[in-house]
Amino acid sequence: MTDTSLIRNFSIIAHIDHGKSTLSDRLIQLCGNVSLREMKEQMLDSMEIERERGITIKAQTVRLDYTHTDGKTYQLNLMDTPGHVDFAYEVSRSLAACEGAILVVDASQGVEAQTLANVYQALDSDLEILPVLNKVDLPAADEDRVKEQIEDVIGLDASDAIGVSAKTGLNVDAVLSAIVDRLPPPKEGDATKPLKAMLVDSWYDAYLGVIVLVRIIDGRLKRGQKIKMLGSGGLYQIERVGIFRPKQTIIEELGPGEIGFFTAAIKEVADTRVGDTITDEKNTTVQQLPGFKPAQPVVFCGLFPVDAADFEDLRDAMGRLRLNDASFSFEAESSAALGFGFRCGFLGLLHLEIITERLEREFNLDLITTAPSVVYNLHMTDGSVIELHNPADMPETVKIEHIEEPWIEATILVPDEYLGAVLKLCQDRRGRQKQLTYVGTRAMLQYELPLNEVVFDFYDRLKSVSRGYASFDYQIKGYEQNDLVKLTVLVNEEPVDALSMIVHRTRAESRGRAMCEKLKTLIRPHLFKIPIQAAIGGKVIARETISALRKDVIAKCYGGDITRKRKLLDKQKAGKKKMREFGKVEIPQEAFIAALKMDEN
Amino acid sequence: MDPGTFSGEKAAALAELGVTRASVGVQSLDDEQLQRCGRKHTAQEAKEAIRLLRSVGLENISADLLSGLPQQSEEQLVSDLHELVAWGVDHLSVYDLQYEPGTAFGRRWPVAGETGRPGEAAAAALYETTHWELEKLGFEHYEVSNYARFTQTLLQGPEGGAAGGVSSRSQHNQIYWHGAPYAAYGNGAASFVHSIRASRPRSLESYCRWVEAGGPLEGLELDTSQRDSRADALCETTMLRLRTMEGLTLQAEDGETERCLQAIFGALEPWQEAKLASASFADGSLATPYQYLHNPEEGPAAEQRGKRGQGEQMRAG
Repeated sequence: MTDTSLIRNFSIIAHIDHGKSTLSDRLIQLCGNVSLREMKEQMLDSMEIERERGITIKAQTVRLDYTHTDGKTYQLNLMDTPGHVDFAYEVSRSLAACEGAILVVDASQGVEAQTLANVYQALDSDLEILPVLNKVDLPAADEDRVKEQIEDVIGLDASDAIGVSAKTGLNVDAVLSAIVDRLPPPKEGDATKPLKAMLVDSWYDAYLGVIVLVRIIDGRLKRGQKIKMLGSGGLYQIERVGIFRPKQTIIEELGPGEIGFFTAAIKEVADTRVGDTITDEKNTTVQQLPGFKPAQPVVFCGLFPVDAADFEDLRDAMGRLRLNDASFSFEAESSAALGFGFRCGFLGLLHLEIITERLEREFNLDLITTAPSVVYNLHMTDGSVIELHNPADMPETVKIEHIEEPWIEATILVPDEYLGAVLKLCQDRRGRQKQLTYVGTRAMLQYELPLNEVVFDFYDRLKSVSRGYASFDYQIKGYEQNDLVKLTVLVNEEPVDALSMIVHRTRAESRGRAMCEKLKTLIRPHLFKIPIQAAIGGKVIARETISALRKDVIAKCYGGDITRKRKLLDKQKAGKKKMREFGKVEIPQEAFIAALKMDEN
Repeated sequence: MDPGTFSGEKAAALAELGVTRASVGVQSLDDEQLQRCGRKHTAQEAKEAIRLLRSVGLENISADLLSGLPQQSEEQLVSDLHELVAWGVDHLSVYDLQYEPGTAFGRRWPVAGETGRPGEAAAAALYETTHWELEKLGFEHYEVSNYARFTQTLLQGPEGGAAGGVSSRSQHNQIYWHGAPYAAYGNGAASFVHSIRASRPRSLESYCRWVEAGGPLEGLELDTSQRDSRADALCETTMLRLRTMEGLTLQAEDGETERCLQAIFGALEPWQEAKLASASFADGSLATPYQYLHNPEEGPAAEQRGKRGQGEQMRAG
């Protein structure tokens, strides 16, 4: 147990690719804990996908021992925070465990949208911020300009910003020094008081079971102790207490101001809540820490196995993923078109993509993903309020008083020459401009947008119209009432549930038309003509027709042709397995996904 | 044979060998059309070839035509049909041109309906026109792409066809569609003996080498599916018989075959519903008699294609 004044708990916040991980590696290396080879593996990023995408999803911490110029040895606890907005709540809890944050800005790129979102969170958490400019060795680096940017845009004094090159190690020791000198120690805690600790994060380890990351505020935590979690109500006995160096290292106990982990025979990650308060089993005085919130899924989609026989495998796979991700929710669902599957809830689009990618890759499953949808609040005429997760479940409009949809606050940074295109995109998506300022030659847009307009490939379109230069970040703002309707798609006059969606009335026609046009290219002609319609209630607002097949035969069939013809039929037979019968119409699996990925222009 | 490389000497040689029927690769009687398609002969040469065949006593002549050629007009096709018939041709094979990817045609005209290639509807219309014109000219449409002159007589004809007439159907080709055995000669040719289809080497060189080696079994590409599996044989029979005017008539001999026939009957349902085929299945007996059907609901211009309905979309097995 260390004297609080010798502890520094801090986090590193940065935009993707600005060098957060590299800097972390350097700090760890300088404090002498890990060999160069292990460094190369960037141990703070444990999952393969994280490594590929260069992002961090799970918050982890490393304890560093640093001997300062004053001769004393300080305990530096580096919290690695998830970088993405989808995990804003997790980020806020990681930050709540710290007193300071290092803000890393790429000296050649400058401030980006994601930098802002995270900095605002850090400022909201009352953290002391230490600006660090990275990649100062690059020819394009312009320290003075970026310092000015930081002051103008964020309102932070950057005159003492430290310039480093995390890649080469240049000046990184100055950062360590600054951490001790400029970041505050944790607030004085009392080791004699009953245990009060915050659950910062948890994950599943193959050998140890559920590992819980904690920040001790008061009291001590040691092996054998009996604890309870105020939010989840769970009662456990501590088996192991330890820290990360980054390797797991068992220690005797953790005291006030310190960060470490414990294991306590906790079965599932879902049994723990990020931000929860941990205290002694028998204690009655300790209260729940402020800022605690249960996990809130924001985006939903349907996941169906392409091959119905894979349903059990899909269920098992989801269960396994959930072991390590309490924020991913799923429940069984069935669809006339797609068979048996699941409706899944995610913290955001990135979360959705990561999960579906892991299911396909790690568990080898072929999946159909229905359109991502958001949660609507239906205010019914009888006074009740229903949460609508699946558009197909929408009750009759007569029973609905009004509908509310979630809105976001988005920050977009884009070079001036693409501003027009980006403005148009936001306007098309029912956006409301809140602010337009300039950060150097880049425009910074603050826009309010409905979340359901964003989950539909907004990010891809944004990147496309800005040639990849725009950056985008958002926060959930709240619910608003709007004129929303259910768009139904009918193929051969039968509604196809998997394709229905909730849209704003003004967007219904263009969406409907785009859907009909797309489906026309995806469904092959049949022996009869097939009408494709988009409708609101009973009213058809868009339609296309697939003409009947006129010819479908091989002109010559003699001798050797016959074997060739047989092979063709066999191929066709195999192809039929990927079709779903839909009334009299056959719709290929890919059609569902493709139809939902419409790009309108 | 290819009219571009024909001559009186070749004709005489064939007659001496005892050849009784010839199939002439006319393709089109429009010289511009022939050139566009890279053919090395002219309409005049085609006419001359037919005359030469006649002159050596070869009366049984068939001509090949293509429909759906790039920029082909209906008038041209009709005129070609009439002209060939007037020249005394008794049998016509009119093929709807397939633009296969990887072939010269496929590369040059990759998209139906574009750059001169007829769209699906236009190609279908040409096919229908062929049927109606040849019917008027006294030909029976006895297989998807084959038409034979049919002369009504008071006596039963020896070569088959509907009772009460003489037909010029190709006996050779009918063997394919009736699943009977046949031998083969020439590179790439396939024989069908003891229910095994055997293809000879494809290139002329490799074929000649194979022949010189005594025609060993290893040099053949074999397809034994018909011999080894009843379901395969049934599938093939169905596939081929449905190409013909008589269609399919099968009697189940046991429970297993009856179930197969039931499956075939079920597979024909969409066509029945679309009024493109008619089938019956009773007492283990499946029959799909040929009817070239009109669907009045579709309007006078859109006549349905019964042949195509009985075509290749089989899901049995």
